[in-house]
Amino acid sequence: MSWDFEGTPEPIAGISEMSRERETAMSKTAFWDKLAPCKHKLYNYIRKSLNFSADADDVFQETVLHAFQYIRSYNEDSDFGAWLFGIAHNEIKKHYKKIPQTASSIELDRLSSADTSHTRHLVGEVYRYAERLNPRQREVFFLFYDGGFTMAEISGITGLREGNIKFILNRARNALKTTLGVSHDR
Amino acid sequence: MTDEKKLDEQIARIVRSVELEVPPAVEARIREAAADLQPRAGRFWFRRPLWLTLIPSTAAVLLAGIVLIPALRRPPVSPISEIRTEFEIADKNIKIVFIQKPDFNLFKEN
Repeated sequence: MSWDFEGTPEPIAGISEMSRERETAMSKTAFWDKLAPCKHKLYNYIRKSLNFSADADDVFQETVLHAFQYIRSYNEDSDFGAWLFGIAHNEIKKHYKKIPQTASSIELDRLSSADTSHTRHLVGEVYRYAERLNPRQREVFFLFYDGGFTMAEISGITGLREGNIKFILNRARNALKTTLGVSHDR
Repeated sequence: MTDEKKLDEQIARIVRSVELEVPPAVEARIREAAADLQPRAGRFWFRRPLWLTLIPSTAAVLLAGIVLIPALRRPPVSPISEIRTEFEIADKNIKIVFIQKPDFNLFKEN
């Protein structure tokens, strides 16, 4: 009795290659679909955390490409936004390690859509306060007030303890209370 | 609603009033760069097939065994080469020490 093994491995290898290609194409499409609703929020977070520096575009690009490359390591049960912001946080950290004195270029008159001069003044005060914070505190500030993440989610993204996050936010509240108090009473 | 929540809402409103759009040039640049990239398999070991993970772990266990077994083995008992006997007479402050010579064979009958 003879066993003929010739020809059997080739079709199987072909099928697996085809399915791999299809899987890659699917994961690519799935990535852009998943990114679409969060990219605006992500871009704003990076720009604001880097004080509107021109380098923010590069950091945003690095974040998206990194996420794209490692999309398969994303766990479908978890929140995609939090996973993406976690990558952005690492990229921002990497950027500050490389360039600790990142130049700030806040042009609020151009950026703010506020119609009254009073509101513009408040926007200026809040962003000037954020500018004075250290990078980590600024990230927490914008993740909470701009990204709308909860303290638990911010803790997951930044690796900071919830107690520290609470402390940073309380300090921000106390610092901005007097500035905003005027408009609050109106 | 507490004052803290009101203040948080007000700060959030002010912060969000500054909104930036992703520049189309940046988006195009990203799409272009991504076209050359392939999603990687991921950094997590559990995404690999199990048998592939077992090979290095088995090798590590074997290597550890080869290195550690001789080191952990008890040293062989050395044969008796000397017998020392001491007598002490406390009140006389005398100490007598007998030392058996190394050529004495303990297990040999004379």
